[in-house]
Amino acid sequence: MFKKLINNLKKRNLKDNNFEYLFEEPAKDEYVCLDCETTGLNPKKDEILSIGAVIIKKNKILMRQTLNIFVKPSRNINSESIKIHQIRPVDLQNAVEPKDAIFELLKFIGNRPIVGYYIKFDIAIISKYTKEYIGVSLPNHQIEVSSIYFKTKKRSSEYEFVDLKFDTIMKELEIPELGKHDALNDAIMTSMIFLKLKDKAPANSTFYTG
Amino acid sequence: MSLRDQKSFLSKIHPFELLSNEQMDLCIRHMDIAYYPKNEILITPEKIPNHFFVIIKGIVHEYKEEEILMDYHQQDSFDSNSLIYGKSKNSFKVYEDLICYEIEKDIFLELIEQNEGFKNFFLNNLVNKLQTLKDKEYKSDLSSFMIAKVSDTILRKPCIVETGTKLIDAIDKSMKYSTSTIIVKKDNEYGIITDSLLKVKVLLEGRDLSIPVESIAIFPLLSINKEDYLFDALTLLIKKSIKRIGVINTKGELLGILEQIDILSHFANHTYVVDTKIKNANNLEDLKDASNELISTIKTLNAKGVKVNHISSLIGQLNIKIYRKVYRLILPKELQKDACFIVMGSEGRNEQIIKTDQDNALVVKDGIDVEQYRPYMEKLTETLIDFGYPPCPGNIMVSNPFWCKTVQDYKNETAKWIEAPAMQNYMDLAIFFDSFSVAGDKELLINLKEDLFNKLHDKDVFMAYFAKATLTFDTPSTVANFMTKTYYLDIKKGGIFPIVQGIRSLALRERIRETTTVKRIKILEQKKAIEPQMANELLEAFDVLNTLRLKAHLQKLQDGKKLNNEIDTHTLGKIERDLLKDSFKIVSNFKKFIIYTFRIDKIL
Repeated sequence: MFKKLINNLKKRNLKDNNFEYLFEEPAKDEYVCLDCETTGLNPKKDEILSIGAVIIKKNKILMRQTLNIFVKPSRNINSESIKIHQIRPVDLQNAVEPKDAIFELLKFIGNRPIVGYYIKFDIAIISKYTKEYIGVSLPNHQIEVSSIYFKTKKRSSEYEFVDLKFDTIMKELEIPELGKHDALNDAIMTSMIFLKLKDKAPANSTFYTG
Repeated sequence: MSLRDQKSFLSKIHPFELLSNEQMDLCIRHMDIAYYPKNEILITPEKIPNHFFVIIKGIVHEYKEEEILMDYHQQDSFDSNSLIYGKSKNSFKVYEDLICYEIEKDIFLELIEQNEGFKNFFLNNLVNKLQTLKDKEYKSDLSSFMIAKVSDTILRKPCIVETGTKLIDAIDKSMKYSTSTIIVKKDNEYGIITDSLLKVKVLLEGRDLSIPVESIAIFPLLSINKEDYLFDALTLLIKKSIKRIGVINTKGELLGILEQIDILSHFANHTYVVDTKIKNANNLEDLKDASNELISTIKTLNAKGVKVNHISSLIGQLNIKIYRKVYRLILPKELQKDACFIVMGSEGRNEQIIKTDQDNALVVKDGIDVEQYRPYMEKLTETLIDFGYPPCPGNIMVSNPFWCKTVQDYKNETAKWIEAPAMQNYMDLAIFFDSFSVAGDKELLINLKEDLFNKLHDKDVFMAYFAKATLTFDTPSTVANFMTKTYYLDIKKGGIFPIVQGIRSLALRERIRETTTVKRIKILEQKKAIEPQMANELLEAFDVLNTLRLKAHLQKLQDGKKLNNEIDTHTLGKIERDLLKDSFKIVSNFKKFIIYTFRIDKIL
């Protein structure tokens, strides 16, 4: 109830009526999993370089409608961050303007719940753009895979440490490492984690609330 | 994974690499990744899915009623039959959490229509499928084609002369070495004078034969290390358009000259060399040397990619020559003609490549005193053991009086076997039926076999028991579980023996004198005792199983391990695994055929 109220408040700020669908009730058993490559880790300052996303329907990752866009940065990418995300200026030759990219993304995800690994960060940085373009932050429901993993992990006590590193989760769940790390690949691997876990624990909360 | 990664993943899976770029793109545009937990049922006769599965990770079992028929692993795909024929007799169930690609049915069928190779793979019967896989195996395994080292060839001793030597003296020396190549040594460097060089630089230019060698020699002589692969040597020759190179050791010393013809004939002629050695051996010591070369011959032929069936017949021929020579060297001449030295069991069938044991016997003409043969037979067995033919654990050797007697005594023995059979008798009969004469009077053996055929006429119940041995061991339906550390299969019990025994039973009933399983299969097909398709499938499966066994044997020899018939399925590549699985499927079907043909269910 409370959530609905907040969403309705949010909806009032919507500048463009074309995006009202974001607030509609989502179809059952459909999700979208996404991952962004960014210039840094500060949602306020940093920019999106690429977005990879896939739709999950029941037990399937719909590979035939994936999203993989590169975004034109407003300034040159510094060499330090190139080492991390491995996106070089030359990779951005086919990149699109941020506004076009975000609109394409919104069309792709629709009102589906968004699945991701430490998804809060991705949502925050995408919301920075949506606020500017349509007046609202991303209203979609969020599902954190590391949180589901945490819940399914058997622990001997409340305080036992659970390693939530992406690679550890992949290994523990025996998910195959597929290709190199880029936004789309990471989104697919995250989707696999989600598919393997989703029936084992309720998938409706965000693990870290920071 | 991004589209590019999917493409590279798929193109590693046979037969997807046959797809063109556009076809691959089409395929990728129409597939999803799906996840199914353990025990999920994917296909049943009632529920045919709308897509084709390719496993990214996990295991799926195919069931017929309760029986597991096949297991599918990473990179395996299924089930084309459901899609092509719209129905499935079997069920597919997830055995270990499955992540897989699902290719849309329509697209899968479209690809089959568009791509001949793709179509052949999915539509063909097992034989063609086995053939396709094997062709691929040989193609992808080119490196094994020539793993022979330069040092494995017979090197020509070089004719080396110092600088300053008169050309005429050098030519004279080369004649003594019977070579057309003169090597000129200048300090630490070598140069070469060939016949064609003499023609061009001396004859055509009208030079005198008293000039020093270095004035026409070509420096430096190209050379290759003796530890290099023969393949590299050949490549170098072709690349430089030359016919010969020097072979050096790690210190840079010239060991010999390698000619193009040596390389080419190395592969073809190795057996020839052994053959000549056997022929020239005048005493047991020389013969032993020749027999010791057999292993390296086997390795060479195997590395060259020669079909195992051909290797075994080649090795069989050489073995027979060794046996014959041993017989002639040990037995006094007057005794030789009144007896027949026979090899039996796998040796009789010519199917023992790496020696694992010996089964042999002597048949003596009626009316001849057997006792005078005994001391020679003991010596014969001793000699063969010394040659590296391991003794037979069942003591089926000429030194055993039971396996050294007259024709009539053998006839009495086989009559006993048939009238009052026990398990040991079935085994003895099986071994004896595979006998092959290697030396002496072969009419004696022909006579014995004729007698055997006549005795077995109309003995249906006996034949049913004889054939029942085909079912002695289980044939695995699954090949490997990747979750376990190792997975050993006895490939002889599970695959080779059932084919040998089943075919042997049919051959005995059909009075076939040929002893090798392969020839028996072909004759059975001619006699319409088995269908052509079954014959082809058995030939292929037999070849696959023997090849895998030979490979494991060679590996064990190299590791200095004891030989057995186990193979570790974890060491098999994807294609070998597929070949093995399909072969076991053929063996299982064949067992059913044997049960039906010999009415074994009536005696069970």
